[in-house]
Order: sequence, then structure tokens, then C-alpha cells
Amino acid sequence: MIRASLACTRRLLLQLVRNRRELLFWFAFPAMMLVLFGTMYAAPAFAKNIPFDAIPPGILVGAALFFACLGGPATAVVTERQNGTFRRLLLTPPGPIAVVFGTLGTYVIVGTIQALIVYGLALFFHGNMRFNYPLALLVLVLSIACYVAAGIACAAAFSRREGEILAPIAAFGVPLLCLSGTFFPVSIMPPFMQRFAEATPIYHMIRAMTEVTAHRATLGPILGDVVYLTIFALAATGLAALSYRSIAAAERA
Amino acid sequence: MIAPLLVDHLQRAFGSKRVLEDVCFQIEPGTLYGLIGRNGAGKTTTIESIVGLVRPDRGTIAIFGKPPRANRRSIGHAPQEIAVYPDLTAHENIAFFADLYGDRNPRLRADAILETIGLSGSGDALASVLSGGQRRLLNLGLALAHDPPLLILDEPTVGLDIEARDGVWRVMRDARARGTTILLTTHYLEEADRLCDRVGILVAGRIAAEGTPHELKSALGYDTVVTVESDDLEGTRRSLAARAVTTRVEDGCVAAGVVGTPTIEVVVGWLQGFRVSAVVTRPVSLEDVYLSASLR
Repeated sequence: MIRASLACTRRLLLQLVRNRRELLFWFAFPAMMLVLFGTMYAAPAFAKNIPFDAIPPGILVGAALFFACLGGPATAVVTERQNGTFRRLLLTPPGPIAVVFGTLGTYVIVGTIQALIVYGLALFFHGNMRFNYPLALLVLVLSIACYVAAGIACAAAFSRREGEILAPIAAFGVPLLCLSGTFFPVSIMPPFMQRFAEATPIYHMIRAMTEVTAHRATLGPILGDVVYLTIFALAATGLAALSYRSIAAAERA
Repeated sequence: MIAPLLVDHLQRAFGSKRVLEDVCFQIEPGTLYGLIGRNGAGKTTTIESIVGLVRPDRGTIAIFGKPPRANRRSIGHAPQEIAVYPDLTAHENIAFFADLYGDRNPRLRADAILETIGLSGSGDALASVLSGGQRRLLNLGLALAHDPPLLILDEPTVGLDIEARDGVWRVMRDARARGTTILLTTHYLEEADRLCDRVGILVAGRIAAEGTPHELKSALGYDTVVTVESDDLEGTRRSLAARAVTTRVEDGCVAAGVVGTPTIEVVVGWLQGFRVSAVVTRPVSLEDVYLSASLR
């Protein structure tokens, strides 16, 4: 299965590299967002309330990973269905888990490059780059796993054609982004909304990443977030595999 | 020896529409079996049941004695719709599938397959820029990527020009010569006649006739089909019926199946008294077998 997963990863990376325009947008979008927010938060009115180091985690998780690692796999699955290659994959010996892991591997690479871009640009705004890198990588990988699995499940549940994938992602995803502290702090929301936000995975991704990169936290303070994200990632991966099977059943019908 | 493919009393309905009523056939090792039938006869549903994409309502399918899903490595399937990655090269497409099937050296395997399908010169071209015929050959190449002993090809020559069709035929003949068993669906009867060792005619979800092309044609009981255009079709048909095994009126002509190979002069001699505008004779073909089976 590892070999099949690696084959899927290689193939998806190759397709991404071929599609340079899409790849450019994946990397340019978070950079633009960071420059935008960095410039805004450098203004005195913002600067005294919110430190700059609080911005990159939200941009990384909410703007970069959300669109690339949730939208990318969802689009990939729908494109496979349209190409007819999905049916071809169904006949190969590796199961759906191999394809899910292959997709995860691809977007771990994409997400890591996005993280390097976001935090590289943050340096330009005098951001803090002294933090626990392995811990940040763990949070990053868990976040990507949650997104990739949710993206595959989303594609299975809502879309058969490429054009149909954007609407559900926008309908469910963007409100979740607003609720989770991507664009403004959760602390300014009404208490009931804060409780709701705490139940969403994006909130825990941003919180854990902020604690690790902005507050130089060790595992202790973010253990709850890591456990939450691990459970969510495992459950979402299981759901993605089941969704993959459900697409397979629909294709077989 | 275990049959590469055994299909026994296969049934499948989609909603209230019964597509497969009762399909039974078996393919012997190293042979090319043609499943022919008009559009909607159930060819693709039969194929997709065999490869495991469609779950039959009833019946048994055995690939070398095992259920299809337990024997995926034995099957190479080229679907009717071309299913390749357009943004990968021909070589990358084949190497990816060879890799999924666990080939130790997928790149070498891809080189060999490109050679087999005659696309060595286009291996580095993206699939999206290949011609229609080349894409269909690549579609076939992906089915060969893991060197399966059973090749299942769904309308592999549909929409191809003669040159590209000959390329696909060559690949099929070469595969059979190497001992690969092939199931081919087609609605080109000439293709089945020229390529297949045995043919099954699928009509309304059942195998209506089966045998070698020669057996099927011989079973009709006539050797030549005479087609006549005249001013009195019914009178001409009655006149020919006295000498023919079968007659029918179609497309403004009378077609008659006769024993032996009468010349046009002989046929004109049979039709004295009628104003005959055209007479054509041709050897009996699978088309006649198919029409006979359809009308039964």
C-alpha cells in the first residue's frame, strides 16, 4: 500500500507541476494575504492590539491550507471521475486508503511549501521564526490531514462535476473560516459563538499553530488541540475512505 | 485447464429496465472472443460486471476460477470511453498504472508497452495532445500495463480511421499470439469476423447465437446473399423465395440467402418478367447471422 500511495503522490505532484497556473495561485494567494494583513496590522491602530505574530497562523491555516488542501483534493477526485480514470483506479489492487494517503502525501508537500512561504514572508514583517519546528510540523500535518480527508468526503457527497465543487466549499467552508478566527480573533465573538468555534477543527489548527509559532509553546499547552486534531484527522480519513467507497459504489451503479 | 472467463446466468437490471436477462458464455485460454450486439444490447453492462464495476443481480462470473474482485491482477480492462490522465505523458500514464500493479520497474515496462502499441515516438507527448487514434491506443496500453492474462476491451476501435483501427487490431493479434485471452465487444461485424475465434451475439440481454464465425455463418444454411432492386419488390421476393433459403425486403431491395454462388447473370435469369434495376451478390457474413439472430 505504501508503494501505491507513493505512486499516487508522485502522479498528483506531477500533475500539479504541469498545471503551473494553479500551483502559482496556491502559493501566491497566501503570500498576497500575508502582505495585505501584514500591511494592515503594521498600522498603529492594529499594531497596539494584535501582535503581528498572531497573523501568519491564521493566514496559513485559513487562507493557504484551506483552499489548497481542501479544495485541491476535492477537485482532484471530481476531475478523476470526469476523466474516467477513477473507474480505472477502482480496478487496480490498492484500496481506497492508498489513494487517500497518496493524496495526503501530495498536500503535505504543498502545505509545507505554503508554510515556508508564509513564514518566510513573515520574516520580512519582522515575524518570529524561533519556535519548535517539529511541533509546528506536527500541527501542520494534522491540519492538512483534516483538510484533505474533508475535501475528499466533500467531493463524494456533493459533486460529480468540477463546477459543482466550489459552491459547497464556499457554503460550508468560508463561514467556518470566519468562525474559527482566521480573519479576526474569536475572543471578540459572543460567548455562544465562541463555544461553537471551539468545536470546529479550524479553530484548533489556528490556536495550536499560534501557540507554537507566536508564543513558543511546547506540547503541553496545545495537547488538547493536538488530541482533537488527531481524532478529527483519523475520523475524517476513515470518512474519506468510506466516501471513496461510496463514489466507487455510485460509479458501479 | 481453468477457463480464463466463465459467465453463468448473468442478470442485471437498472431500475425497471432489465439490461441483462440471462447471459452465459465461456472463453477458452488464448482465444479472442467477440461479443457483438447493437447499442443498448448489454455489451458494456456485461463487460463492467466482468471487471467488477457493476454488481450483477444474479449469476456467476469466474476469472480463472475466482470472483473478479479477488483476481484483479489477471484482468486488463480498456473501457469504451478513453480514460487517461490528459496532463501526463503517454509514458507517465502507463508507468503510473504499472506502478499501481506493483511492477518492479514501471519505466521499463512503460517503454515496452509503448513499443507494443506503436507509440514509442510519442511517449513524451502529453496525452492531451495525442490524436484520437493515439489516445485510444494509449487507453489500450494502460490495460496492458501489468501484462494481464485476460484482456477485456470495450469497443476499442469505435470512431477510429482505418489506419488507427489497424493499429488496434495489430495490438490485439500480437497479444493473442503471446497467449493472452481477449474478450472484445464491438458493433463492427467485419471486425468480429476478421479477428475473433468465437463470437457471441447479444440480443436483448441474452446470447442469441454463439460459435466460430464460420460455424455461425454455416448454420444459416446459405452461402450467398443476393440483393435485388426491382419495380415489384413483393413479386421479386416471391420469385426468389422458390430458390432461396430465406428472403426479406429491406431498404427498397429484396435480399435472399441462396445456396452456392450464383453469378449475376444466373440471378437475372431467375427474375425474367421483372424490371430489375440492380443485382448484387456477396458471400454470407456475420451481419446476416446477426440479423437472423435478432429476428428470431
